[in-house]
Amino acid sequence: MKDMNKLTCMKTVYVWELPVRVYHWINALCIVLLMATGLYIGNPVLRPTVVTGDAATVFWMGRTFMWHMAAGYVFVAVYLFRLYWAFVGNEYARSHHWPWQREFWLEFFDVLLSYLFLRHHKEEHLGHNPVANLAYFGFIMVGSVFMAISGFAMYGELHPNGFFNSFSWVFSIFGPSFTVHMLHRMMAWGIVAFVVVHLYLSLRHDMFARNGTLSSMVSGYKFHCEE
Amino acid sequence: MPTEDTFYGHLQRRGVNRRDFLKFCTVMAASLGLGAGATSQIAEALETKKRLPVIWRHLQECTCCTESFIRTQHPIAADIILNMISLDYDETLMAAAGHHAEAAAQKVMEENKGNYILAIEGSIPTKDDGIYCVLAGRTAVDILKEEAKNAKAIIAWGSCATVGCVQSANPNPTGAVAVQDIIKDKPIINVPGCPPIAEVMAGVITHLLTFERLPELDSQGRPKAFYGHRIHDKCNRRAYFDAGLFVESFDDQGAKEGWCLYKVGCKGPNTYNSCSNLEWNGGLSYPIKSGHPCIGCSEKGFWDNTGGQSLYTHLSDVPGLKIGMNVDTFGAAAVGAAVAGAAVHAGFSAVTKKAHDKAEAEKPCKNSMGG
Repeated sequence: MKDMNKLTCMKTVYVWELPVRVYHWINALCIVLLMATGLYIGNPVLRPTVVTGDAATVFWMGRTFMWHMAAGYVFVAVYLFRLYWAFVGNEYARSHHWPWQREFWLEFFDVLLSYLFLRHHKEEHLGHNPVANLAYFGFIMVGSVFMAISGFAMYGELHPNGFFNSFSWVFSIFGPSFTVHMLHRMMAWGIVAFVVVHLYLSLRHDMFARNGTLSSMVSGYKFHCEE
Repeated sequence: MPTEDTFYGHLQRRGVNRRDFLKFCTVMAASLGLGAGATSQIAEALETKKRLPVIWRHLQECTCCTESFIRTQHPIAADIILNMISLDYDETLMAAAGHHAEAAAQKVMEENKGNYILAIEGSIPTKDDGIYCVLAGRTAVDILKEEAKNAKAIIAWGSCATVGCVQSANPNPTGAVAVQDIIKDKPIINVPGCPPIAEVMAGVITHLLTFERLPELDSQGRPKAFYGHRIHDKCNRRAYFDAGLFVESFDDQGAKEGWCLYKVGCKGPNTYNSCSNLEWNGGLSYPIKSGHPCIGCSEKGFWDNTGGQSLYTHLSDVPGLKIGMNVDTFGAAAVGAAVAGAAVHAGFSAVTKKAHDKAEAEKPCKNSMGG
């Protein structure tokens, strides 16, 4: 650990614009809400009857389902907004290389090797580094879309003549309803695992690179510190 | 005046009165969801149209579909339905046997080219040249292909014929497949269930006969009128689901109170069928009503979805693991691994960072950033 008093911080960069930060925290809140309610919907461990003892006065599953739906709508809405912001936001609001490009993998292995302690890489990425990029691409960009379409397809099951029944093709691709429920839940756990690694690595970058990774998600600024 | 060839004519000769005949037409119109006006349409069709020639084949199956079919709800419905179609070949119901039976099937095919209905009960084994189901010296695959060639439409009765049912369960020793896996160029009505409800079967035939076209089908080829809703959505225990009151085991107080069977493995929320509205045995009951969770018998893969483990588990198993690990256990393990990985990585990071800082301190110039 470096001595805090000797650090001089300069080159302050505005990385995360306000809409990106708002998106991030609403999305985080949605994930927490969706996971908590989703866990209960799939495996209802609570016993409201212990409290009230009456089916007529409780609506636990119904209410949990409602919150899950509500959070799901917000989750999709902020996702769409974030997609839009990738086009109009600053350079850190979008990926510059994609997994199907050679440049992506060159940078990716550079960062990956440094995470594996095999290489000491020199420049801290101000936006997302390529490893983070791949994780966001898999778990957030594609994962969210999968959660949304499988979720809407299952929601459509409630209303066979409603709008969301137009998602019924999901069952032709991913299998019967039971399998789609399972995949939805598996992806949800995948996102939780992603959140764990995400929290750990942002903490690690904040401590080791001393560039304000954690606070940047509130203030928007990252900086460069040297002794 | 109705002629000998019509259904109504046939029924009259068998002593069915007009009142019972119209009652049946009303029941069918209602269960097909056609509305009151359709009753007279159905009645007229049954009075004037020629009976439908049907070849009813029993392939790799247990005959539970036929057993269900001959027990329709309406007192004389069995009689009406069995006479509604001119059942020219059905191993279970016909009197002829051996060469006579096969000759009857040939005759129907020749006389009604492009006009007969082929009803298939059972899956079709394809492994080892299809020898696991042989009728009159010919394999099921051969028979199906020949008889489907000139059929007007095919009705696939039951889960065997629609998705392969339990015969195609992993590891599927006979290579059993569904009708729709073999026949691609004919309209197929899938009527899944193990067995399907008698009224559903009657309704499908009535619709074919009355309107001379297939009933409205969903993306999986099932008639929307009967497979449009989940059992869950019409379930008599649904209020307990929404309230969050669940049976935890089959002998607890909840089970006695008739609470929701979701936690003891009910597949109602994933199963499309009419059990919870038409019910079984003349509207008497259905599995959930009588205290047993739905096993989802009309859904594809219901025998394998729980990973070959108990049907009384409500969370799906992760496929491919073959050790019966449900998706929550799997997910929790994945998250645990992520936490452990992060902890180990953090330890390594601290060690290497210390070493790196030490090396840096010995060098005169330093501009390196960690991580």
